[in-house]
Amino acid sequence: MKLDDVIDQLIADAPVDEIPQVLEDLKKISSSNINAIISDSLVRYNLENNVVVQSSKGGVILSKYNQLEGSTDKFIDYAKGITVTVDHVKLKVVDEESSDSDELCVALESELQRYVDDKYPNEVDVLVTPDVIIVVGSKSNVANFWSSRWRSVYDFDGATLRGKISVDVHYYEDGNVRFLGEHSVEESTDDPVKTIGSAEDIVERDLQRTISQLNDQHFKQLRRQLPVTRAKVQWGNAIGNYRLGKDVAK
Amino acid sequence: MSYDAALDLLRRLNPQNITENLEKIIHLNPDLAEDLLSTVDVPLSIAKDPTNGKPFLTCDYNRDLDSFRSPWSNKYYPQLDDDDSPYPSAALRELEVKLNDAVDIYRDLYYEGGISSVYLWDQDDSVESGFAGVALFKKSTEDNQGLWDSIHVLEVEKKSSTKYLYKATSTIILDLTKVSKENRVKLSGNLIRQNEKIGEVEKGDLYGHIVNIGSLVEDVESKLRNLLQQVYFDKTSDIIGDLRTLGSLSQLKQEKEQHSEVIKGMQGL
Repeated sequence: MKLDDVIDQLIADAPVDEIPQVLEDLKKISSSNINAIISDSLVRYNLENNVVVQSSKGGVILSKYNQLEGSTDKFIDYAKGITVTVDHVKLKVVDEESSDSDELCVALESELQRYVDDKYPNEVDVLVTPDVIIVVGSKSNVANFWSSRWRSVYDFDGATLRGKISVDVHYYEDGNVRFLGEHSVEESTDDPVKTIGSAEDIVERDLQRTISQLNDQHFKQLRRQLPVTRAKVQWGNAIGNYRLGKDVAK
Repeated sequence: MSYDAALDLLRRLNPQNITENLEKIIHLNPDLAEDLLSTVDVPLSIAKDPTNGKPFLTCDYNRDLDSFRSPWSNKYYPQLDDDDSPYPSAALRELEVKLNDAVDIYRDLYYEGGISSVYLWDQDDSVESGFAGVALFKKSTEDNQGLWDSIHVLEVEKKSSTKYLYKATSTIILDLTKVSKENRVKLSGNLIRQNEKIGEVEKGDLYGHIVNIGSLVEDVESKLRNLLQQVYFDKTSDIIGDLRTLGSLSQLKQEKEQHSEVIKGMQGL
């Protein structure tokens, strides 16, 4: 195993909101200096997961679609009309300059913003580029040991909306429980924001239905709440009688 | 310090990859290998006892080199050349046999399938003063989309002439998957809890320990099953509903305002 790959894969496995703690842990564990490897890994991680940085005009989503060509740390937000320079490790904007905004992106973003404000009660950010539409909603509660994230990435060619929605919920009090849901969307439309709204409602209902199916079908097949006999086990000398009873029943 | 950091890291990374992630952490710091391998619970593996063809579960507690002791024949497989592997004392082995038998019945009643194994090891000079052990269960659904592993590490300590303290550190690893054409959902992880109780055992009565250990494991598994249900399904579902609402926030706000208007109006009457 190459050290670079090990660090890269461990970071890739972490929930977005817990990256700072994960980096701290990795530095404490590793016997060698891994700062350079970490910063390389985070460039990939931040782009792949569409991590959000705060600018003077609100959150800017990082992605390969708005990264300036030839640069690893400059990102343009076409609707906000700014270009930010990002520190990938500290997840901060270190420099900000205004750039030309794209009229179509501005119009689509304001429509999208109205939609997300009405459906995402917590932190939510959007990115509209000539190629893609991205929505990222998140909420973490460190005191109660959980973090969560909803991310939708769509491309719209004027006639068809195609997208992938990923939902990540992590609960880590005296344990470690992770929900990872992925859903693909494809619909013909000339009104992308309206279609995003209805598609996301369907996806959310579907995820909720899947969770209750996992409960009713999978979980219940693993271990019963009460034994077949509907009474707690009589441990002790006579426990062999269960087997006798079963043999007789056969 | 690096050990605590490793445990914190394992609690944050995707639990479905725990076995691979454990290997990677050990690669970063090989000094952690022994401590991590003996404390971090990973999904159990299954071996087969060639003497009777019965499957048994393997973990760090019944391992010697690359071989594992079967609870059915008390032999290590694959067979080891020299015979200085650890075995329970004769008295403890007698209890181990009976406990495996009882736990096997319990498994049948609650799991209707699956595999169980119990391993005991001596702590002091005599079984009379106490011992330790582990009770293991493994079950999967027919389509393998649901996997359950439970691991109860037990400590039994004599407190007075007839009273013993039973401590259980229990981990349940639950892994659920549902894949369809358009969607892929994985809900996986583990919960860990500690429980203890005092139980009576008359001198020389092996069944006394079986009653106490058996009912402790039964109670802990029932409690943890409820907890798994809450965390895996109810909690996850609530958090998703809070990330994105199915209703409209402006409508909800409007309704709330109207509601308080009505209340205000009524108070003014």
